[in-house]
Amino acid sequence: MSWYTLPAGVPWLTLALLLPLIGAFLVLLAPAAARGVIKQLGILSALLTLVLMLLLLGGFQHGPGGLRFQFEEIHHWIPSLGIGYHLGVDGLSLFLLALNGLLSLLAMLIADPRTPRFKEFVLLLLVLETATTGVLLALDLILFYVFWEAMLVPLYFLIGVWGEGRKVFAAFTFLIYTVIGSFAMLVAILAVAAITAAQTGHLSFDWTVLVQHPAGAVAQGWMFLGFALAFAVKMPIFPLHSWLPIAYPATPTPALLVFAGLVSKLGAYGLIRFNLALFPAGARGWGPILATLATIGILYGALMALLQVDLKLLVAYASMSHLGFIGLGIFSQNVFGVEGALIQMINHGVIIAGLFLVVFMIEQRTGTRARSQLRGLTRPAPLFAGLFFVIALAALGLPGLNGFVGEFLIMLGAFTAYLPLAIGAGLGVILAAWYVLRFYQGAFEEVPVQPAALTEMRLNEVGALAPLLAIIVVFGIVPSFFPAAVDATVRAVLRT
Amino acid sequence: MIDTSRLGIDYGVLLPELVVTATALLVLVLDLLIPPGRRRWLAAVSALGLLLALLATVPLWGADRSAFSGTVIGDSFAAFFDVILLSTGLLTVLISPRFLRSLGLEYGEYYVLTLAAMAGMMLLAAATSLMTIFLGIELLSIALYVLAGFARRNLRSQESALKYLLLGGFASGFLLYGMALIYGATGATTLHGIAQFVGASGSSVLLLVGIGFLVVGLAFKASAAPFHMWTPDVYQGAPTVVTTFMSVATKAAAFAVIGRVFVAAFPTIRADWYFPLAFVAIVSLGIGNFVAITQSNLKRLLAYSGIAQAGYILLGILPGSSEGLAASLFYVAAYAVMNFGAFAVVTAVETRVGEGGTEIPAWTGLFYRQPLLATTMTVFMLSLAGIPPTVGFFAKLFVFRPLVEAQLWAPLAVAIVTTVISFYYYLRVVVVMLTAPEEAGRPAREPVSRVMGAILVFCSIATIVLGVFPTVVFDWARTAAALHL
Amino acid sequence: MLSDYFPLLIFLGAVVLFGLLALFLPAFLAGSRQSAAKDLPYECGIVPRSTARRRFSVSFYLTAMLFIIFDVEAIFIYPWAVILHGLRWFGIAEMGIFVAILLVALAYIWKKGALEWGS
Repeated sequence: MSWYTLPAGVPWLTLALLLPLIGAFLVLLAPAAARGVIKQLGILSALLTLVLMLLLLGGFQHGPGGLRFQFEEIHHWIPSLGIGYHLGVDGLSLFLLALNGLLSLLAMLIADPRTPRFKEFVLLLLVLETATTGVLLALDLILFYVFWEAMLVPLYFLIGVWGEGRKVFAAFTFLIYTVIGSFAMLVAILAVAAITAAQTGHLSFDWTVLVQHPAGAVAQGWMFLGFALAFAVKMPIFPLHSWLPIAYPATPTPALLVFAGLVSKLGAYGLIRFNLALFPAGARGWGPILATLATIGILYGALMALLQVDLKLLVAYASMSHLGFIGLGIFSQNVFGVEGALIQMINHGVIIAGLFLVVFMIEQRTGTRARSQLRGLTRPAPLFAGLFFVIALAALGLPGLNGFVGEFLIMLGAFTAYLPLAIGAGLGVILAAWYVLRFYQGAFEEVPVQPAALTEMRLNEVGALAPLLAIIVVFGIVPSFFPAAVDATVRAVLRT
Repeated sequence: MIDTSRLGIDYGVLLPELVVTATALLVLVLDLLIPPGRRRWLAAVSALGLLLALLATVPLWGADRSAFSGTVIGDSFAAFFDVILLSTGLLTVLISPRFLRSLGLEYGEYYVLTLAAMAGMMLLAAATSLMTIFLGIELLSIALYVLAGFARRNLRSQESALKYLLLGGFASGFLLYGMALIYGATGATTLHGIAQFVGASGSSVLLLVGIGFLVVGLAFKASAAPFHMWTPDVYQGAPTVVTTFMSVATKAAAFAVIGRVFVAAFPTIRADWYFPLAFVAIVSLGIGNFVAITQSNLKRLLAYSGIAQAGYILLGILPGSSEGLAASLFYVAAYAVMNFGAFAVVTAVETRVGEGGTEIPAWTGLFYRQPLLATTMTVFMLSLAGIPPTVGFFAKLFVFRPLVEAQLWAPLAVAIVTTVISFYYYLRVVVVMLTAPEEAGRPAREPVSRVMGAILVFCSIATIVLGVFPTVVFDWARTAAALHL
Repeated sequence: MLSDYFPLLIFLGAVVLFGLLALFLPAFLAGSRQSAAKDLPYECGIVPRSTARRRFSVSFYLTAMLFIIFDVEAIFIYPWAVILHGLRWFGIAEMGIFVAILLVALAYIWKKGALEWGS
């Protein structure tokens, strides 16, 4: 079942990779002084990419079982080592792809043309979009690794050059953490290919080949660890999170939308795509440990969020707490848990992007992100307060909004897999309600009204929040739309 | 009457070397004839000679022509290195005139010596006998000793030459001693004869000591730790164009010998040479990457980076397989492109700024003064660090893969940890170029010379294109690594 | 294998022993009589008239180096001359190239003024 069929023979996925790059190339040619033109170019290329991704979303065939990829493209790349250019979409990557397009567009929309060296800024955002798209599409492990690493470069510069505070330190901390993880993954990639080559007789780095030839349990355990390290750092899973409170606050908000909203989810995506699919035995061994760490992450993130004064840090820790839910869902290793995690990945991307946007708007207006200095913002800006309230409720998982669906499924999965952890996660939900409502109440409701009053939301700002709000509401009301698309893939990955 | 046809005389095998040597002599004579103001033409003649030599390598691809009683060979391996060396030499000659003029060093001898060093290096790539190996090493070393001290009136350059000469002399001594012991142990000087003997009767203490000394001598030339002490001082003191040439070409030539000797001549006793080579590789990675962090001079930083890169190249030799050797060859090619580029940028900056131009603080905000230089430098730094999509990434990937297959976890682990560390100093250079005191008197943009600009763009495009499509060069490397003796 | 080198080891030991003997034996066998004349630098029996630490013209070194270079190259011509009859024109041509390269070197040092004296 699908809404329509896209014409075959068109390299849709390559096109999705190229569109932002073409935009970047055009930006490169534009004179640095033409900031308006550069911004328009950035928006245009991000918009076209999003449209293409939505086209793919609509043209995706729901239902066919097994590990079937759609819009597949296979070409030789380094044939002597069995490395290929293999792209494809399945239920795991489909919605993240669209989220990627959406957040990249939002980042472009809120990018301020008065930023110094704006041209390079836009350029790097577009390159980042290609890299994140590539991570989602690549089915060859080397190709995946190339995109995974390529993602680092624009992020490093976006933080190190346009960031706030100790930006170079922040960029570098982030880089070192992720690179250590990446190299562990690289070794695991080489190892899994070597082991499979010993079984099949010819070297291949193709996911679809590797997934059919699982290695021995011991080797799987090690390789699982290699991959998990890379993805756990990126998510981050406790205790590999300590780069997060350094890097997130330093990141400029447009880049942060993609960084927090999407890049962290790519870690979770990797855990499902590679750790669960390629190393089922490894996942059985390590699953309980990682699920425990994820639960610790939920509580730790939530408690830290309660302690924060800086709103950006508060959202950062809230994000970590939510990612703990996703990790718990993944390592429940049942259909409920993984599907819940997938849904929560989309929801979390939308909600966190929304929260960071709100913080950004508050900071733009009041010049501060300190929770203690903000109060009574509802009276001057009721619309602002209302929109924020919706996002806040979604963040704490209110039924009827999108945050609920994912968390509920994850809890279901966790209850069947690890009961004590599910109880711990439940505690996390309560804490989430606490820190989210305190954030909202403190900044908006408290009297007396702050002297430097908040100005009401402008139309373009509503425009930036609107798609996020739409998703929050629609996904909350019709959640069934989502599992239908991903169910077959999840079952195939879990081999159930 | 002596039958000359039985002497194995085959000048075709040495044609590239002969063309380069003839060019050197021609330039020497021309230098005597033309007025000093026209010495730029010497660069043109040298470049032409190198191009001809490049053409002369074509028949060597796929050939297997052992000549001169088994002392040299014309094969894909030699051709692969000839192409790398000649391209490096060609680009060096092209960027030299302007730099030399800026230092008042426009002498014809520069080109003669560069060409002589080239001839020595190419001989090394073709050498299959201990004698020709020594001949090649001496030819390139003596020329480089003089080149390192080419800025005669500069104290640092003198220091550089003297250090290089003294330590190089020691290394040659070790090398020769090692060769003598190997000859004593096996009774042969050709690699073919040695391989036959070793294959039949295995190793002996004498042979192993000989191999140990050989490793010392070659590691010195490849500037691998712990025989690297000279590298930072010599690199820093030598005129930057010389450093550019030396850092790339000497290392390539040294690895040509290491590859041929260890993978082709001693494959049967890999268990014996594995440990010393692994030790050299691990120490190089450690020292190179750690010490580079503390450097404040770009030439010294790149010197330590070069030491570390030597470690990565050695990793490919360790498994003793032609797969690994192919990876090392690819790494050498990648290293040639990216390191030449990096040093060329240093040359360009120094041409503008003067001697202080190699200090890192002088690079602050280079992005806004010299966007071309800074952008290309960024590409080279990312590539040296091994971040995709640059050729440096695939170089590391290809080298790591045989290690995983051979399950050599210790060197691999060291390589990975130190690679992570290397990100710090490579990216620091980029960050320095990006952090701009924009308001404080922005110096006017000075254009980079057209030749330099073209070469930098060429190198950075090559770095990226090879990082996206490494197949062609990798397949060449695989052809070259399928060695015969 | 290594035992082949045993004579070499004996030879080495003998050398060291003889050296030490020659150094220390005279102290026991011969008498020692010190005098001022014995501490003078030896210059073919002539009484030195000035200090030995004099500066030489750098040309001496240059000449010495040039001599060594050309002398060593000339060594190659001797074995060639012995088998020239066997090599015929091939040998003539090869040596022609060799000498031509030497001539380039000669021309170079000539033109660069390395053969000028005292100017």
